[in-house]
Amino acid sequence: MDHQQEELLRKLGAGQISRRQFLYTASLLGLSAGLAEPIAACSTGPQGGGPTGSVRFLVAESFWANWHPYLHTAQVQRRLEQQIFDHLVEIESNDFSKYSPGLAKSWKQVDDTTLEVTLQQGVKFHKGQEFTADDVKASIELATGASAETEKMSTAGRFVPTTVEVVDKHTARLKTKTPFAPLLNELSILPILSSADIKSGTAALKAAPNGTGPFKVTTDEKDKKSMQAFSGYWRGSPKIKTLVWEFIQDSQTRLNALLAGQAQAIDRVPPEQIQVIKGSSHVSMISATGLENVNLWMRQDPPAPWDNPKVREAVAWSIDREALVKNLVGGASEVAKSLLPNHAAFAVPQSPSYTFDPEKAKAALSAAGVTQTPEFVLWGTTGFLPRSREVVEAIADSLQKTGFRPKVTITDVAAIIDALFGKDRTNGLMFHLSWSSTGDPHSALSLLYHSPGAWSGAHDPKIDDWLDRGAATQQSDARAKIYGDLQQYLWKMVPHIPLYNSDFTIAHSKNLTGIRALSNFMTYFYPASMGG
Amino acid sequence: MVLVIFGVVTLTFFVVRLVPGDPARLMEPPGTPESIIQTVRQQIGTDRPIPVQYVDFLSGLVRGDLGKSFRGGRPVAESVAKALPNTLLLGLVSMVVATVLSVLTGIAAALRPNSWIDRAVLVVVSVAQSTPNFWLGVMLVLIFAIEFQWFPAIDMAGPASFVLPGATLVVTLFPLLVRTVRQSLLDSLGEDYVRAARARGLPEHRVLLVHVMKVAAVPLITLVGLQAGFVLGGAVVVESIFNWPGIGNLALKAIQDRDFPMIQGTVLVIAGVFTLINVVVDLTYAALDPRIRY
Amino acid sequence: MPRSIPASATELAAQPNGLAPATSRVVERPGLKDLTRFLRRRKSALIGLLSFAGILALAVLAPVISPYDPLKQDIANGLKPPAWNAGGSFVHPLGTDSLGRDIASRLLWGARNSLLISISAVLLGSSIGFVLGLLSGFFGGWVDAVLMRVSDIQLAFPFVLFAIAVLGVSLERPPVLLIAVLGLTSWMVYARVVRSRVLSEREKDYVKAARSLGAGQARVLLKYIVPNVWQVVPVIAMLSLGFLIIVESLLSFLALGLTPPTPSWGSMLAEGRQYMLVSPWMPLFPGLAIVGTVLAVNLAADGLTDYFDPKLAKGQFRRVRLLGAWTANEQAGDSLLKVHALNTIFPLEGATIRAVKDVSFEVERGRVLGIVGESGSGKSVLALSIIQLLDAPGVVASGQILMNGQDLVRISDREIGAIRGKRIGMIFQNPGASLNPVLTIGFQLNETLVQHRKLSGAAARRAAVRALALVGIGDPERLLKAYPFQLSGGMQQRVMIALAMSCEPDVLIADEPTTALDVTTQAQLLDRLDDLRLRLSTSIIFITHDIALLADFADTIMVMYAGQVCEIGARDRVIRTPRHPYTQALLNSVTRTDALGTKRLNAIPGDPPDPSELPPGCPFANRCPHAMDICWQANPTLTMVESAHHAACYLLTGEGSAKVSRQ
Repeated sequence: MDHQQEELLRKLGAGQISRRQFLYTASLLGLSAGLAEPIAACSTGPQGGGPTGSVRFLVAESFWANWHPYLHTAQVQRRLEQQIFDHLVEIESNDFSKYSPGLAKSWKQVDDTTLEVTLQQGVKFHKGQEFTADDVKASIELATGASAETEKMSTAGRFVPTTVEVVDKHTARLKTKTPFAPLLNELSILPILSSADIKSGTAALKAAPNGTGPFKVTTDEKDKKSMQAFSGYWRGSPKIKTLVWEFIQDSQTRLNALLAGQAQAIDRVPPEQIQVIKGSSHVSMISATGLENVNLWMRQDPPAPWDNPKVREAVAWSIDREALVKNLVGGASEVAKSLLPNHAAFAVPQSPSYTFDPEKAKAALSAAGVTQTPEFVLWGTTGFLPRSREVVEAIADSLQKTGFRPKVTITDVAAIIDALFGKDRTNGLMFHLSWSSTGDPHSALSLLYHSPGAWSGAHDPKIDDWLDRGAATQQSDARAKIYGDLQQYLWKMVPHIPLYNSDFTIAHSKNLTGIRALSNFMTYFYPASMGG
Repeated sequence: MVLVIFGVVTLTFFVVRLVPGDPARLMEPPGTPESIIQTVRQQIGTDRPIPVQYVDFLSGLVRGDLGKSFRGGRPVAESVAKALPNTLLLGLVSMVVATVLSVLTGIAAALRPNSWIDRAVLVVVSVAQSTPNFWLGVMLVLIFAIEFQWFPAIDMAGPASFVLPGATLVVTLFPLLVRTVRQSLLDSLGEDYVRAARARGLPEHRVLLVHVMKVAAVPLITLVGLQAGFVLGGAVVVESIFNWPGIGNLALKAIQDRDFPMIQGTVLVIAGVFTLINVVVDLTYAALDPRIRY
Repeated sequence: MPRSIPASATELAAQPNGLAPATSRVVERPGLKDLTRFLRRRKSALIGLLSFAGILALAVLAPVISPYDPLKQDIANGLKPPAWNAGGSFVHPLGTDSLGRDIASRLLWGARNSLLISISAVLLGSSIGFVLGLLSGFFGGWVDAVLMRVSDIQLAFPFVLFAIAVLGVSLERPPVLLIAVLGLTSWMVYARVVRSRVLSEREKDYVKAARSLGAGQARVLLKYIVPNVWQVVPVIAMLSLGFLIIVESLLSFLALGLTPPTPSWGSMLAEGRQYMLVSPWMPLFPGLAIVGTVLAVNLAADGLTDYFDPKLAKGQFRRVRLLGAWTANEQAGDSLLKVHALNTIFPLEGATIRAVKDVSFEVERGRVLGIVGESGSGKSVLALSIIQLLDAPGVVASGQILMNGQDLVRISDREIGAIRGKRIGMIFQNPGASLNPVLTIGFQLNETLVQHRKLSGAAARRAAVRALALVGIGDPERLLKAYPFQLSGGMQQRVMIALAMSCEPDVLIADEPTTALDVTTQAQLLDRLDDLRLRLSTSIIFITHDIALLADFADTIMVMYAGQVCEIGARDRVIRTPRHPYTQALLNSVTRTDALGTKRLNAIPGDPPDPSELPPGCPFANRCPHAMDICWQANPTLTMVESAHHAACYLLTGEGSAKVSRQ
């Protein structure tokens, strides 16, 4: 088929022209009846090419309080933004070295610090503005901390300051302050905003979202976000007419809704429900090993004797991670082989693999000169991580076998945030928490371990050095070496006790087809469709 | 009445500030520097000393302003106004059904005390009393929403959606109501005036339904009033299982978010409605029992 | 002796209840030693108590009998089904939970924790509630006001928030904390109930008497009020025990329960909920344990309620009709109502009370039959037998009650319903208690008129006014709107008579209608009754213990003692020439004013016999000044003294006359 035919068919499929228009134009162009087959294939329902159906997706985490994409780190919010905004590049499979075109049609690395991107044409924002390189400039400079904005963006921590030179309406050059290898990776999850909105100020960005993505927000409630197909979407109108994301905390309620037909997809399916879903004839699921390390977090400045890595190593030897993964966490989870998620780029399985070995634990303790460790509080939260309570109890039990004395505390998120970052930080020592990343080791490690470590009080210059060099080196082999060494170091230092990579399972009704979920938790409802 | 509401609200105000969890910190991503968090505290007013916050809160209350939610800045009154009718509706339906059922059952049991009917009723009541409502709710959903697909599993959408959450509430309300009806009927059936009424040849059903019920209605109404409080604030669990957009659900989420104004607002409304219901109950006493009037 | 057997209807009517005026008697509530006897009778309560005791025993013995350590994890063997399921084994008879811990062991240890928490919480709540209710009711005033407001506030405060506040403050949640939360949110009910009990006890005469004798507050409170008030607490406590186990489960559901891994039924239930679809036994077993325990507790609690509140013993009405045809030779003849050889019994455990023995009499149209006897003589039971309103387990064992060609004992329930009120009316001793307190006089009149005379609207109203006027009430219109408690005793009784007479029955049974009234009113009422009798030709059966009343009023007098007729005859005969020693003693005991104007009281020495243990001979023998040997051996039957005068005494038959009579 030639380009014109392709274009026509695409437009028909996207609902941008009606069948009548199609046939008329086709006849004008002299295109023949050889198109009859593709026409039939393009029908999606009784209305022809229009979007149909309503999809309700129940999530396990409450949404962020405002819409500003650069002022939060909430995972669910990021995934929601995927439906509303676009990124310059996209990751469309679990291979994190391969990037697909997003708003950037093509790109090339001009030099160490310059990335030139050619942008898509004919893209519109929901509010009507045309997408140009100015938007790229405004977004990236704001997000990376290169603009004059006084309020520091949360996203800035993931980047180095990047200025953007507008070459022409559809070409831009991104200049990083220092060479920054993870740039594409970070760009793959950075929503692109309209420069006009950015100019209106933070308040406007917080109030309502305006993106180029497949869905636009129609109703905004605290726990329920309703979206509608954006017919002018540059890739073609979504096939789903209405998309609703709703926060329901209780996993069983979510499952019940799915099974009763009141929801079409549910998030964070706990392992005990997997059996049920497998046994049902009208729901199915997608599972992946998440790019998410679940660890026993510790602050990087703990009191003695926990500041001795040997003591922490002893903790690592005191947990039966295989059993945890096999019997409790289940699904597609895996024992963490490194402090990088197992499937992240440059991840290398480390040794010794910390199995449950009380002898080695005791040996590590005596090497540290410690006979009896003090009592400490082991925190877990309810709600978000499936089976977190049982995991924490199992870990506590396991730790006790080697002589540690943990006290288990299970609370809600608010209390644990307080304990982690609040004034009274001595309340807990270890926290059962997770950290998800996007595939590049920089996103997995830098915010956690680079000083001055807002998250965990990190202050090890050796780690800083590796992280800086890893980010600055563009060359793949060189990066592999750097991160290899870093992983080895981290594995020995055990700043956090590694546990497992979580299971990420979404369940959906069988007639919702085309939904995709990747191990970086990105969830695609485009070009999914209902029915059939 | 005002005193009670005042007391409840004051208690709430101080209690929520005791619980660990800083709302300002929750409004920013984790790891945000303390300085920004302090700014947030200033914005929402939690940096001021507690007594000052209290006075501010009270003065707002007098003006009819329940404050703005910490999450999203929407006026609390708005969210509460949206959620309250949903709870009230569910509560009303449940209470009516529970009361009617319990009156019928209580009468059946009282007419033949210590008979097999009476024993059966007591067993049913005991089983109902020992069933936790969250467990029951889930069972009902499993059977009727998923297996048979007769009713929806969640949400408030049309009369069919009232059935399962309503049934759960009814089972929780029913036992105590039946006991009360039965007990007061039995107490009354032994009274002299009942014997005198029978001696006048009034048929048993009239004796029961007119003479006895009116007197027995007093403790029943009292209980209904008390249970209204439960339905309002304690039906949290039912609302959470069924994702019912009611005030209990709102309060629970507010607590998790440490959204002080929302917590205060919901508790105020719950206490207010509860007190109002009991005032109505008091007035009904007078209507039912003339001795109280004079 | 504990009040467990209803000896007579009047005695029951004399028991204090909410409607009767404050009595001067100390109400004797049952003590604990009679509990065992009660339990033997009420099997269900016994089962409940024993089951609960069994569960408690299991809980206490948990450390010893538990097969495993409840905390021992074995995550490789998680979610194993119970032994009888595929995949289960007797290694873990009830299966394992998600962490591989043995469910049976956790159930036992969970029993320990759950019961410990709920029992302690109940004790805490009931103690606080009892004390506060006591103080509140006793001292009243500002103490009461403050405490009740606090109670209101606590009631209005949403429980979940309170729980989160207390349980969320501390990061550890030991049982003590849960006990505190549960106890502090449950005291209000006890306080209110105890308070209202104290309020009513406080007004009783015996308390006032004690105070006037100089007893201090503390003494009055502790010695007089508390013993009569505490009985409400155990029942509420037992009922709330089950409830608190559930609430503890709710707290676990909200992640506010015991710090893991401490097992409790509640936390097991909450945990099990997640696994319901996959491992349904996880929530099933703790659920069953809770249901079983609560059921046991409730059965026991119901038993306790009945035990402590003897009110329930009265008033259970069940009509048992005698089957079978009656012989035609005992037809009524001229009389309006003929009772023939009536026997009424109360079959109880251990003893059968023969309340009415072989009683026969006739009542003619427009005549008054006076029945006299002391309490326990069976006269009220006789009256209730006639109108077929015996309290359970009373039943007419044999005999006939003939009226209008029907035997009231044998006709159907519907037929007797048509007769009550319409053909036979009855008025009772305590008029205040016999009128429904929450319905107006007019309403109560109206319904009877509608029921029997099928009147309605204005016609009924007119008839009601007429009925009231008939009993001599001055302003009948106004009275229609009044409530019984607004009237004096005399007025109330007039209203009762009006009610009974409004349908113009053939027979009016008046059971001690004037006993509760003063002498003047008494006389007025008797006049009224007489008047009615004349006007409407109503026959009256007038029951009293005061023979003096019958002297002018009755046509025939029947004297009853210990359930049987000792003497029956025309008034003049019986009054002037009483032949039965008991009748003589009765007449003698009437207060006379002697020449000096001093009233003399000649009481009959001795006591009537225990109705459940009647002697073989004449029941009056132990008090009779003329008792002979034969009197102790055989019961005399009625013999004719003269026409229309019979008495049952061996003195008449001369059977024992040969023997020396005792003085």
